[in-house]
Amino acid sequence: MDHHANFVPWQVLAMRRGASFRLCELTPDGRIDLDYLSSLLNERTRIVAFSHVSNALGTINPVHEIVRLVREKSDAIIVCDGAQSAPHFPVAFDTMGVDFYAFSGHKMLGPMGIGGLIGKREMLENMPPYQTGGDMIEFVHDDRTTWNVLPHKFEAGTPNAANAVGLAAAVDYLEAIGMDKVRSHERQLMSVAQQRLSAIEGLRIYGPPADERSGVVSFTLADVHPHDLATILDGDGVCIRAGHHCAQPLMRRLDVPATARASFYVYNDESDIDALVDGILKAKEIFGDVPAQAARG
Amino acid sequence: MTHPKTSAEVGALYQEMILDHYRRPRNKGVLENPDASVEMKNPLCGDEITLQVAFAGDSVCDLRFSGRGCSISQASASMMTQLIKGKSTEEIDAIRKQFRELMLGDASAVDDPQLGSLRALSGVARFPARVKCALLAWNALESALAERSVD
Repeated sequence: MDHHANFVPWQVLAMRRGASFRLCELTPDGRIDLDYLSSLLNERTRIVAFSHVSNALGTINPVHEIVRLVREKSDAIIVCDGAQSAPHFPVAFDTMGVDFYAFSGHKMLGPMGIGGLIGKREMLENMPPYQTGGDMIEFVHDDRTTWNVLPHKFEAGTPNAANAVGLAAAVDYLEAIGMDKVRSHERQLMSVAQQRLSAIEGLRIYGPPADERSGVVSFTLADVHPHDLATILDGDGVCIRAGHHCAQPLMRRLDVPATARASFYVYNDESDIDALVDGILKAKEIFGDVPAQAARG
Repeated sequence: MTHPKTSAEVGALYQEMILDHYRRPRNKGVLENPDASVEMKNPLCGDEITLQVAFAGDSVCDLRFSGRGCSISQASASMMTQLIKGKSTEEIDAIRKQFRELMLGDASAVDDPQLGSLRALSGVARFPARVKCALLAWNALESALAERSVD
């Protein structure tokens, strides 16, 4: 169910190293199939990467169960993609049990081009720099160089200062609201959205029940293509995402070329759900009864 | 191009002609013995098309398309096949160039009678993100013609 950003790098790494790259399949309602995961793990498993929250379905994955399974059966390094969890609910790295956790600035009201990688100190200490340049050095001898301390060892070159300040402002803003409040606000909106959307005939929602999802709802509307739906909603000032959500392997498993996805955050309220529902009904009206043959080929 | 889109622009995009071709696509299917067959995908939205073309001399005597996609891509493919059938490659080149102008928002293309029903797609120019949908079938056609000229 992962975003390509937590898929392609591992696929490429595996090819480069001659390792095998294996995918954990999902349950029919879009959760990680833990039995399947268990069957993949053994003492040769080196890295297990998963997303905390699916960007395409909103599924909140059970971190502790996943970590327990992995630790039981392997010595693998556990990497958690938190791009969709850090913005939406409280996250405590120290209690998650994972080795690395990554997040993106622009998914949490911050600027593009910055993010964070949190790692267990002993692992970071043992890792060589992945980039060389200014600031990551301690001493440069004629024949060798020693490394600066953490985190500077991994921050080669001119620092991205403007974006760091921007991200810090975003974090302050979210902390002032309170991440618990962000979560409860989204839960409330999701429960209303789920109720309103599931009442629309021909609308199909993907993923687990609303209370097990973060603030997104992924759906299709009969034979109206998601891009047409998005364009019609756009005309009424409603922005949704239509497409494969950078999760093509997931779309194949859902057997759809694309879905429409509405996302809710701190700036949304129930009137936005009204506008969304009105726009969907309008799309149904414009398209009328499109026979399945026409839309599917 | 100005944003955001208005409801009126969306109305102008989804003309009945387009919806009709989406609901009842013309020339959809497969040819038994095509001279050229091209498969094309739009990786951004997952739309896909297979276009098959049969030639008689210098003209396209028959063509079919299959695949799936949004109303714009399907209607554009359907209307294209209707208009192209029976035309010479020279005529097709002229239409193809003019259709691209239409997608770039060239006002004179809107009044060009040789584009026929394709002019119903003129509203797409206001939606830059959807132009690629309208051009998918045309890109496939271009490849099919190139395939033909190589043979």
